[in-house]
Amino acid sequence: MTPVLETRAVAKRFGRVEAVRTLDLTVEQAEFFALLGPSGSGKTTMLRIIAGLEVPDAGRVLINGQDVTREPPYARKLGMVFQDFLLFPHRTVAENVVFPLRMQGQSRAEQARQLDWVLDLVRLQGLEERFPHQLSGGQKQRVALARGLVAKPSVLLLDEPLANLDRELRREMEIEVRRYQQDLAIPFIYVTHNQEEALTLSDRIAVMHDGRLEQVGPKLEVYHHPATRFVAAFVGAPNRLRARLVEQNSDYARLHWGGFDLISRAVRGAQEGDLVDQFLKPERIRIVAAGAGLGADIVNQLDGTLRDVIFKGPYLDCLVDLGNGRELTVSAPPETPGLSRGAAVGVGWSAEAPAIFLADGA
Amino acid sequence: MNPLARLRRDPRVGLLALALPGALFVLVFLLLPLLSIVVFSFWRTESYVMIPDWNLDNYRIILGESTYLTFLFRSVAMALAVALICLAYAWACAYVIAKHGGRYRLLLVLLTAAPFLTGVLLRITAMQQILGPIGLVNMALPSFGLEPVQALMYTNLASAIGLIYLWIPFMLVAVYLSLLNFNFELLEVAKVCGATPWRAFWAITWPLNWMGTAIGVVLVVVPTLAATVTPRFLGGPNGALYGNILEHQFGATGTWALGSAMGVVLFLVSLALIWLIWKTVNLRRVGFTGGLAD
Repeated sequence: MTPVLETRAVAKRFGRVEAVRTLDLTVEQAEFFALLGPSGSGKTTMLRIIAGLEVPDAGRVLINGQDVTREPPYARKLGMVFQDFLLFPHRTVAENVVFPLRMQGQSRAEQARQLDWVLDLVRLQGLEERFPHQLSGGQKQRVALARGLVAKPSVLLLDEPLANLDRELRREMEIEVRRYQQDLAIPFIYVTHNQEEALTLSDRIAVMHDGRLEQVGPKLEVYHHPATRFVAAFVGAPNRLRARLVEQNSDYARLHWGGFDLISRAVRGAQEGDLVDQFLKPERIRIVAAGAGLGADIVNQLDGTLRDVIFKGPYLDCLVDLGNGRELTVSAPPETPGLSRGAAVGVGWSAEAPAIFLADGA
Repeated sequence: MNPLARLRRDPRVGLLALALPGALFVLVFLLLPLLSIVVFSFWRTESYVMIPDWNLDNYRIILGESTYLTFLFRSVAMALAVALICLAYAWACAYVIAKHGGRYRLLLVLLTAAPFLTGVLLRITAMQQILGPIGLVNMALPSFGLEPVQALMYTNLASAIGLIYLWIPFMLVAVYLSLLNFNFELLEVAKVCGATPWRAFWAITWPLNWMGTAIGVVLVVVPTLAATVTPRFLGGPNGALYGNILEHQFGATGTWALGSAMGVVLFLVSLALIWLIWKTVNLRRVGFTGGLAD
């Protein structure tokens, strides 16, 4: 089956800045696809190229197998939702929403029918005659979503659509946006710098950095098996342990880190004596009161003191001082016994827990 | 508490004191002169002397004799035509400057106002040097074996060109300031929604900048209605407008009372035009959000 959207070797530079470098993307029917990256990674440029708002310097953009690289945005029949909502301030909710239908020359009856359907979808009935300045932030974003969806586009592009909403509302809208995507079964391409959002919403994630794709894959794979050092550092707020490789065989490596010997998986391309970075997610570290056993499979076992315990609701973040000038953040269930500030604790992780890469510049 | 101290504590007194200088200014320099021409317009002049016997003769003359009304209509038509051409020209310039001017935007706008540094009279004589019978255009054409352009010699067309040249900077600044506050990203939204650039302009750009444009129209229409210097220099005796006839009453003929009445009529016509233009501005439909009750 032809993918709904495909980009082939797309590149774009602005002056001396290479915003996007030879980028290949494929988005399949009915998938929620997140483009995740820090600001300046080129993800918004990529989205604008797909929308037709930027013309790439090289490469091609295909929608449903058709080359649209040189097509203007108004010929592409896409929907798009912007970060600042960008509603037309001189038009009512209803007029904003039916704007794409009017541009397509649909009849008034058809416009009314579609308006009804989409306002029902985004739960905005009764607000048709309001003007944008009379709406709350969440309502504005629903109108923007309705405007993006009303013409049943082949793809909906979303550029950080929830970034301007407060935390509560963002959670609520995340669930909403996910529901629209599942109801309509069209692909959403969702640009965000917020990894939580990307993980919550998407089926697949593409991590962008410096105009390139670092990793593309199902979200669990990106989360649990980062392919590059950048992805490992960026996703999941991990602890970074910069260690020296003592020796390794084809499976395992022995590392020296701040006076401790650690075992990890072997590091591809590393020589003995190289500096390596281990990225260890807080929830992959086990923590127990001092003296309690960690389990036989935990090959790395260290003692420490709890410097602080931060209550997060569903879990605790424990800041563990290891006594060698190093500190680890460890997540634990709130009911874990013996976790009070100043307590002596044992922490440990398996050889498979950290993602490990050669240190940059090493 | 003594009454004086109580007075000083009253917040309304402070507010009144604050408003007083401005109010006085308006009273002395705007309302009083206006009132005086209204009063004079009901008097009569005889041998350069104003005689205060109240009558409506001046208005009867203006509204009864077709000459005055003809000149009035000619001025209104001229004002609308000049405003329309200024509008088209200024929009094109202001749009390019606002969108693509980058950090030179302000400089470019100021440059369009550069002719103002010389003064109206000088600018109009300069135009005369170009358009007039012994001007650049008409002196040059015969040397190429072409006929001089009669239409440019002391005609209303010549006046119109001069007036357009004169008032374009006003229109341009009004439109430019409006575009400066316009979010061009809305056009990207419109395009993604399927609007061609042309449709996006009429659906988004134009209505959202109509208020600024309307201000520009007023800024051009009102002074054009009262124009005297430009039609005198470029229009000549046959291209006279209402302003020239009005001016005449205070000069050669010395019929000040009639002149005052003509001034009152001009004032009312200007107000009517401003009111008509203002009626086209629907505050909700220009994206205006301040001060509207929800």
